[in-house]
Amino acid sequence: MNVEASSQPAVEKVVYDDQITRWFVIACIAWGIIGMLAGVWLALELAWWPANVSRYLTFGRLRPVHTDAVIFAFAGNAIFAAIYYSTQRLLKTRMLHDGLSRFHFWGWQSVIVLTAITLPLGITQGKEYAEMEWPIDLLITVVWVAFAVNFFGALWKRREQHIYVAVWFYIATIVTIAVLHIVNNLVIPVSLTKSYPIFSGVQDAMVQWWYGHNAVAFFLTTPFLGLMYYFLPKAANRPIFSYKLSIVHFWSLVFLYIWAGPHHLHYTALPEWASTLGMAFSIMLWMPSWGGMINGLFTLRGAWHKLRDDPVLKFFVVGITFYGMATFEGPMISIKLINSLSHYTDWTIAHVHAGALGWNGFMTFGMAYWLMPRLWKTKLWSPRLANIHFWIGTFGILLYIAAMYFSGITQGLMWRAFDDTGRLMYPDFMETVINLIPFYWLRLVGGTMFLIGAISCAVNLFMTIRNRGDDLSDTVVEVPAPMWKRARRIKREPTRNYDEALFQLDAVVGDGWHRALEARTAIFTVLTLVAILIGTVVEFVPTVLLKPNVPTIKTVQPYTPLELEGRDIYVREGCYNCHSQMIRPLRHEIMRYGEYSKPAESMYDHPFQWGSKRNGPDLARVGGKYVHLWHVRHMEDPRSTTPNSVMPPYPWLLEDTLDLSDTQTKVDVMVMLNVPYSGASLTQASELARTQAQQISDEIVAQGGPDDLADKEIVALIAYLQRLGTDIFKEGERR
Amino acid sequence: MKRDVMQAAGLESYAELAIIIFFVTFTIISIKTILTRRSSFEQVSNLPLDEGKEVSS
Repeated sequence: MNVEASSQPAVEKVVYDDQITRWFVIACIAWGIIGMLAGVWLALELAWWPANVSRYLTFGRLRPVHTDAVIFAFAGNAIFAAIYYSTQRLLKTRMLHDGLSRFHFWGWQSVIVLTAITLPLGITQGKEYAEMEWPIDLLITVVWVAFAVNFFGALWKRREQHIYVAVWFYIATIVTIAVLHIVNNLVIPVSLTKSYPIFSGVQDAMVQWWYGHNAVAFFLTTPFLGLMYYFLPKAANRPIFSYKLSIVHFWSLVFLYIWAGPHHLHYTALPEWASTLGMAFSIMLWMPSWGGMINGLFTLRGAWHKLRDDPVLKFFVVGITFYGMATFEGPMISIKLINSLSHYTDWTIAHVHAGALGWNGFMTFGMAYWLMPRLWKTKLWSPRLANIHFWIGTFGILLYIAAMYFSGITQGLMWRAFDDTGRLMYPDFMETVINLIPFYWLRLVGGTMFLIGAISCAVNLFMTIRNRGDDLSDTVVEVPAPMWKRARRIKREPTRNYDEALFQLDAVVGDGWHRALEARTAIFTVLTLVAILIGTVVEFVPTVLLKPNVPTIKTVQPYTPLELEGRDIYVREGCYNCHSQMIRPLRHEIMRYGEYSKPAESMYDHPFQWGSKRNGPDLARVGGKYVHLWHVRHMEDPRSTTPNSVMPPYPWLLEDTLDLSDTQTKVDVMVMLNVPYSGASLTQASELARTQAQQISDEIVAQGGPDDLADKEIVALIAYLQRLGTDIFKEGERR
Repeated sequence: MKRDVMQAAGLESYAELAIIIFFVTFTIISIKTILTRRSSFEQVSNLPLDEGKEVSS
């Protein structure tokens, strides 16, 4: 045997693509500032309603811009920066194709721009974090597929045999987000800018929160854990505390997370078994999440002194700590009893922002500060400014979440308070809102501090780029040639006896079954997919396919064509961002709003509009509660009917002409979705709508209101609102 | 009402089945991981720190 030759293994050159990471870092910080600015503006709108300066920037339309911008633009670009930088280095290969990387970048930025334009225009699917209409959804799908091909292509041509734990988290992200995105966006288009989801009511709610919660899991958690498992060892210059723990962490997270969605729907019309299942798995999630946190924090053992001067590690440590806090709080508020207090209040907002600002925000900033000098081959412009960013950001988060905890618990307790005679202590919803205004101002201060921190990061980035090194060409490294690939290509001899077969098997799994698995990416990916699909199938099949889960109520009938148009205005204006349509079977809710909501009541709601937050009262039984004229006055100026209201005015509903050109198509699409329309609705939907509009307009005049509203949008909205929650009280067949 | 739905659908076993599947898989993964030699993970856990020897192009 030639000893000399084997002691000097062959090397190969790898050229890493750093340009793509630079682009994603810049996009991440730039979009982050825009998304956070939208958040600060929303905080102002709740504290001071005149901040609703334009119909395009009302709370209902701006809130999805904020959530989608920080999730998909800020966190999204951060994830891609992390994946492109670390995957190439962990696999010791360039991505599959530079063209795919660039298509991914520009495609994703186009998605963001289109979303930022369409949502303020009121073009929305009306489902949280999935508001983008179907053409944008298609673009997202194409971009995601390109990303997946590029990523799995890199896996296929990698030089490193074993796949590091960070890459597993990336695999789980890519596979699961694809499944979630497709299922939750199954719609039938009415036009280029309007569609109806194929699911309705309780099933749509189930699909939406399976999606919504797993967007948190597989967009805001798993890729960020991948980021942590790569960049934390880099910044601390030591390997992760326990690789064994990371294996358990990965598989338990992937198995458990997918089940947790129904905890968003406690005490709703969702079948109780599904919500209990969601709760049980949410509680189980606490352990693997803390396993991850411990793994992250313990990596710094013996290196804590580095925290004194290294802003990167400061951001990481506080980020991981917030991950621990949020993943303890999440299981806690998924317990039904606690959820009955926290749900629909600012407590949820506090929880979300502890995770988003603390975990996602700080991990992103930490990564950005670590990458800046390396990507632009110079020094970080100002470590001092990065330190200031760290402190202003930390205090900003603390102020924000403290204000929201106080606000949420205050309102939750006020909603359920009874006096000695057994009546609601605060029957007027506005009483519970007025108390929150000081907290809203405090939140505004906290959010603004966090935004200022992000702007300082942008300044640091800008100045670092200005002082960039002369040579920004791609990094070239030498790595050992992958001997394992050659070994695999050698055709195996057929075994002649049992011992030989055992030896061959040992060669494959001798280093442990999981390492063998890691080396086989296709099997690994399929197993990950199976893990997330088990939870999906067990929860979905009964709810979506089995009819008995939604017992029908005979008197619940489809909306009239005018009510359908009114409902679309309700969705367009994003009313669901502040008003729920779901009365829980809790004594105080029934006393405040009326009979609790039944599953069958929303069976024709494509999409469901149960909502998740009550900045205003529940509307599930608002039908018939007020006369038409009250609604006219209320929409024109909410303060004229409800003093101290924080709702934006909607005067344009009284001015804009109701567009009935698509009404027939809308009814036709509903029929395709098995909504039982019959009679004149099938052929004369617009005429029926006009007749009903005239009737409502006449009633408004009779009540002493204006006489020019028959062809205005307001009558459609009133028709819809007056119908809400009234069907179950009707005798026999309706219409 | 919700109890009626659940009884009518006869789906109690789904939750139980789900938890059994989860626990069996999770237990297998955990035991196998714990029993694997720590040293066999050494090279893998050092992967982030080894990105190859930088050379000028």
